[in-house]
Amino acid sequence: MIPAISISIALVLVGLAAWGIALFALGRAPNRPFLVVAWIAVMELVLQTGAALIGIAAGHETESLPQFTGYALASLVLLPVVLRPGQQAARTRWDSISIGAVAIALAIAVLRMLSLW
Amino acid sequence: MSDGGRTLDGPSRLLAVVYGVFAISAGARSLFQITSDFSLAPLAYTLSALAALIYLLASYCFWRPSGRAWGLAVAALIIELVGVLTVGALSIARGDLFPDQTVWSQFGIGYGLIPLVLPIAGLAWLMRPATRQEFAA
Repeated sequence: MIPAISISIALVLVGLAAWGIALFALGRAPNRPFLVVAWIAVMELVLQTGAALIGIAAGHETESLPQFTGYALASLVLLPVVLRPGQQAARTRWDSISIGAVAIALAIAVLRMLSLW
Repeated sequence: MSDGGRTLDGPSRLLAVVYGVFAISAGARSLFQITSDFSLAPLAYTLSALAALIYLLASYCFWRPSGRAWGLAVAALIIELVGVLTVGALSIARGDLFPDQTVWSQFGIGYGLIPLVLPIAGLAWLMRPATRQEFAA
């Protein structure tokens, strides 16, 4: 993992969380720009986790592989689950805050992965 | 489950997400603790694993509502509340019982006290007659 990239991903996630909270406060469901940024964050997480797993396969040793794997799994799964692809019409303000809450958790997970790396 | 694909709107959805996050977080932590050195603090590590299972069950019940899920969620959150209050108090009064941290130590202070707030907020939401009706619908 490259610290500058991990920190930039964490910052994107913090921004996404703030955006989600703001949409919730305004009583609005996730809009298209918000969802685009969220899916960009998903792609960043997939690329980062993929690169990390390649590094581990190549012999890099993390401080705690089970814990690192747990965070990696969370970073791959959580955001796509709450984004609920294909259900735009059913989305409400509670999707905005749910995505925001997951983004906060993932920002912490990314920083924990970096510290374990 | 009354409907395989039904999810609730409102706080139920947020509770499902937050419990899901905690299930993964506590699960990863307990997996690390149990596989690294279980003999160091077997009680604390077992409690971490128990907390992860309770969080997973609660998340599923909020995500896939039904009359049965409502009952399971209430039971899970009561166990969670008793756990966080008991472990929280014991970890302060009898620190020697917990050589290492659990998610419930010091009432979940390591997680911003969210482990203490979650079951109270969840039970308050579940006990609303309207919520119970939504689960059973």
